[in-house]
Amino acid sequence: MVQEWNDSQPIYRQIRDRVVAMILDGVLQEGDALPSVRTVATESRVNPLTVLKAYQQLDDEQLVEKRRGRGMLVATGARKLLLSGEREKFLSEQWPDIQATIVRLGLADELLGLNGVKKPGGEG
Amino acid sequence: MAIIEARSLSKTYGDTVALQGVDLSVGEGRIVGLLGANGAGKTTALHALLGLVEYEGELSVLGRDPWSHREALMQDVCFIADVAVLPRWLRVSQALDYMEGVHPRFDRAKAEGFLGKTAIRTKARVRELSKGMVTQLHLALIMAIDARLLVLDEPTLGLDLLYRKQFYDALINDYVDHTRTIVVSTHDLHEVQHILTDVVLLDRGRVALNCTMEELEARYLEVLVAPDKLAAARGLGPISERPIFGRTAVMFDGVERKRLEALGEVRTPHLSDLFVALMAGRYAGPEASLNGEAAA
Amino acid sequence: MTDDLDMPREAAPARAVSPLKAFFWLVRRELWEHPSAWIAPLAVAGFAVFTHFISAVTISAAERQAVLAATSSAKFMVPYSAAIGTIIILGLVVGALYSLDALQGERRDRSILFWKSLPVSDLLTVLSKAFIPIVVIPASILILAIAANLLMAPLQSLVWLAQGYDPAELWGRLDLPYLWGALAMGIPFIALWYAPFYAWFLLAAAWARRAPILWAMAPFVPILMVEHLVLHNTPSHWALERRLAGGILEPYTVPNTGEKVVWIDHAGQFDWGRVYSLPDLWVGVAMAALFLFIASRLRRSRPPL
Repeated sequence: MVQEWNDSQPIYRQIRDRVVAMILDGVLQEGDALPSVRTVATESRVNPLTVLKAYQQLDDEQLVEKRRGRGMLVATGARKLLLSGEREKFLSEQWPDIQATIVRLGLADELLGLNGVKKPGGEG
Repeated sequence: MAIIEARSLSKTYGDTVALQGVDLSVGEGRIVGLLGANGAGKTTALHALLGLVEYEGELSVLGRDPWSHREALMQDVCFIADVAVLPRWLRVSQALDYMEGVHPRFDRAKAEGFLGKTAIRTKARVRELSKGMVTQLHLALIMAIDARLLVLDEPTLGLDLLYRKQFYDALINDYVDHTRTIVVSTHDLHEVQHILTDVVLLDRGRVALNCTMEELEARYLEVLVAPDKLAAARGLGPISERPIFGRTAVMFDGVERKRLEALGEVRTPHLSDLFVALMAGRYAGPEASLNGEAAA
Repeated sequence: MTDDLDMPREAAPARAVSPLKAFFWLVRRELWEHPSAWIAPLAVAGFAVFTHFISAVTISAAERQAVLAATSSAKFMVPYSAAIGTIIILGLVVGALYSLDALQGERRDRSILFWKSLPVSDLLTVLSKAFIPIVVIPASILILAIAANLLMAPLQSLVWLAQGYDPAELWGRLDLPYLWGALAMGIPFIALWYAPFYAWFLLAAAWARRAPILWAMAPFVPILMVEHLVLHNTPSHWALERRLAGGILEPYTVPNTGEKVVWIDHAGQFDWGRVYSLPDLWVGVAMAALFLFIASRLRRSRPPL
């Protein structure tokens, strides 16, 4: 987790998003421990309380669980939960814009006719 | 209990007003950035906190008046005034001996542990060490004190990247272990910005801004506005504007995010840009944008 | 919560540091910083032993005969008391130089910001600095003087043997214990007598931004000028001279002999009672205490340079 932060979102939100990405990518499997607060804080030079806040957020979303003596672990079913949530989000928030761009650029045939992807106007 | 309480703190050196009417309240476990231009009064404020200089107004650190109780206060407060104050003739071993002999909360084993991770030899004198190693040494000595308040005055001044990184690593690690209260004054806004919990900006001896980072992120927003939306943006009462790459970055204090999103890309301003806006007083707008509310 | 950042930790109760222990470390720190305080007297003692040896070797036969013919032990003792005298004088000078720097150097290199970050009071710090010229250096003078004499005697005996003289003649006439006894009895007096000077120098150094010695002398200039103009005499100048010389003269000369200086020549004449009850001595000690107190207040409030 060593990268620059953007300034359009609170840091704790961005940390949360990074952990989510790690879970989705399979870097963190269910039952794996999250990187320690200390490690994340020092590597990204962020207040440990901010990292804690991000982890708390993940806990609230039921993506991670606290285990005494072992720290924060990725919860069972987290990936599934995330995938469905992320899918939902992508389809309702991002896909329409991307679709519109594809159409605008005249790439609809090239990109959307292939691989069985539905053309615009069809189901999401 | 507040770790630091200041009310109407003022200090004048002859004709120069270094501090004027500074109100401050720092709670336990906060990491406060004391920021401002050279001569803004940061060092004077820190010296007042540490009992090094007399002042007017009220000031209480860990429940004590620093000026009259400096020695007692120094048991619970540690500070690095400047990296260049370790005496050049002092050997590392002598520094360890002396601190062990004189400071009731100094843990020699801990200091030696820190030093073991560096290239500093025990027999070396301070004058034989590079600037970065002197900082490492001073920091090792300081971190080994079980103090409740840590005050750092420009601790990374003149250090190269590697030593700065090690410095902040050590600081964050220490904070995870002890949750001390930290007051750090620095020019290095970019590097500390995300570590801070609170920000105090001094401008010519006065407090120009005093709030938590959360409040700051909620309150101050910057919009990248295309020329066609500029007039609309100006209509919302910004506190500053500056051109960037063909667009204009317009900064607002206390305007709802939703309203700004209609004008362009919204983001949290860089601390340095925010400070320039607050200090320049370009918009003789509401007083509220120059005198921040007191933090919790 | 993750394992990190659990309960906020209560600060462990501090182990107390007694002022005496702190004082010990303060004095050690002074000696670390100013090794010349003991190296210079050591060098002078060594030099005295060396020159004595050389002069014993190079003395001409005629001079040796003249010396042997003398009956009083005074002539024999001269080199030994001269060695002691040199060590004393140099020790006093080293003390003065140290005092002029002690409270200024730490402001000049800003190390005072490090020292003051530790829980040690300004008063204790100033006292530790005064301890060097008032106790440590006089004690080292005593030790080094005796040590020097202890080296000089056997060396001189060896030279005598080599040159065909009987060392017994030497030992019969040397009365080193007397010399050392007089020194031991007088050293505390010397230390206390010059204390106000050292305290004054420490005060000047605490005040001055530069050139403490000028500030130390500065107040006397208008006094002397006024006296010269008004009284056509400078009594304070003479008073100062008397004070400077008094540390040696008071204990070791016979009083009331007018212009002539008469040195005491056996321990019986060292007058404890008179010497240690001299009002000038104790007035000086009181002034030294006052100067040190003011110096500690200055250290508290003067900023680094």
